[in-house]
Amino acid sequence: MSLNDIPVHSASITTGNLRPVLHEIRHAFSELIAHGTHGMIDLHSLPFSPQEYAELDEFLGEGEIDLTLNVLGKTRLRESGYAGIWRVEHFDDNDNRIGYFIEIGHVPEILRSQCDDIKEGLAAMTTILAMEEDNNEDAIT
Amino acid sequence: MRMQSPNPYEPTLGEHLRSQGISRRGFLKFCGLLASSMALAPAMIPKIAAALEQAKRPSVIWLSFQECTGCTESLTRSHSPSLEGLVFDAISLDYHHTLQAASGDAAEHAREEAMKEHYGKYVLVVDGSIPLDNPGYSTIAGISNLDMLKEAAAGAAAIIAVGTCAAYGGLPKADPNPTGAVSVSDIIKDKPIINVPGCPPIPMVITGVIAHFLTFGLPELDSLGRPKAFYGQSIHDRCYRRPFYERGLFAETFDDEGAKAGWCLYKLGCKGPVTYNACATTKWNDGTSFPIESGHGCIGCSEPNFWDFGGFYKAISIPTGASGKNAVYAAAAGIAAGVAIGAMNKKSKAEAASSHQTVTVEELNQESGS
Repeated sequence: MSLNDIPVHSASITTGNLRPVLHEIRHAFSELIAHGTHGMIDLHSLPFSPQEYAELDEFLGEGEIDLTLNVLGKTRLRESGYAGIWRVEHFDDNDNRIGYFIEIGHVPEILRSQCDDIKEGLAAMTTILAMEEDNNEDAIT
Repeated sequence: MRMQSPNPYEPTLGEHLRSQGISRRGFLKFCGLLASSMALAPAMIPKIAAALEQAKRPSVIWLSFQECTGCTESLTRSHSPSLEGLVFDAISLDYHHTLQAASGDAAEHAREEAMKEHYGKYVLVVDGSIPLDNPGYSTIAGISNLDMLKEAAAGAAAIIAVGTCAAYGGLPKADPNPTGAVSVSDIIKDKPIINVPGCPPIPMVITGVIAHFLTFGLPELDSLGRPKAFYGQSIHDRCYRRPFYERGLFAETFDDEGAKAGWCLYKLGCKGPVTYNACATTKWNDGTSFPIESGHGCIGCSEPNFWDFGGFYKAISIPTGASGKNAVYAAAAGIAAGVAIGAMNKKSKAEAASSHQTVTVEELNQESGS
């Protein structure tokens, strides 16, 4: 017997949380423009009905970018119809959504290359180039 | 998880995760999910990342007393790779008599060595209650639970009492408490104790507390010693069926039309209004659902003495924050119980949240309108 066979289903309800969240997004949006502040809203822990999730999706609309990262399971980044407002959904290896954020910024934080990785990359590249030059000199002599 | 590494170099948690193939980008995702699970503002994510990156892997000694191993099962049965699994793998679990390969003298030697090597720094995790009536009721390697707890607690930086048994006595303490079971905090008075109750606790909450200890030290606790990040709100406050409660729409039996429509289970004995836990948001079985979502009321397992609440299917009559007298009068006046209590809850919600009131067993035993 699967979960879908259990005859318990929720009647359509609204929690009333959608409207405040929309205003929170709008506020973060204006903060981004005024002060360049990167905003993030965690939707995962909020009681939201499926109907409200659908209404949020409809309100935000779809933008040009839809990316999937393979980082500890999948992460899907979707720009909304409003440039600068992103849906960030984290999934585990079984494609269960385990985190859902709205990010307000130029790009989602997880997309940016990490500073320590950049530094390590520079060090690695410098070492490789030095080794290649050493090898070339050895070949010439 | 490792057992007794001979390597004197202690890698940081960040280094350890990277050695397991987790990139910094993955680490950031991990920290974001961790912040979400701890109900911290997303703005805290960079701070969590910085603190965890530098945190040393803690030595953890896990003692199991009068328990059913359900707490350990809860933690280890989480599907991989999960957030809780990643945290659990990142600690140095130096003693856990169910999980470690060593047994007998070798196991006890491992515990003694870890306590000596990390004296004053290790985290002591305890599941199970401690019998005081007769030490012989529960022993490990011939050592009574009481003696082992006192010895291990002496060198601990902090104690995490996992499960309702360790936190409040739990099932072993249920009336008539045949073994004289008590909680960790009934015995240890000079160490910080974090209660992580639940029967069992949510795995993410167990590891979240460890992560919080690593990043920001001891979490803020409520009056029952529980971290507010996970136990700050009642099941009822975060329940997706709450709108039905507010409208006075209740299932009367487990198979009536109300039950099929997913109405509030308050009248079927749901203890959600008086139970503080993270089930409604963190959920169980990889976020699949929580008991109320499966059609059964909350049994209040993270509250003290929940076994003696008077029956899992007996409706509670006293809403959090409302005086028992008022609630009974309201019901007696013929006002629809759900609507009346819902209205009262709205009025007193802020007050109840700040005072974090609980009700007594006697109050719970009163039936609506009686």
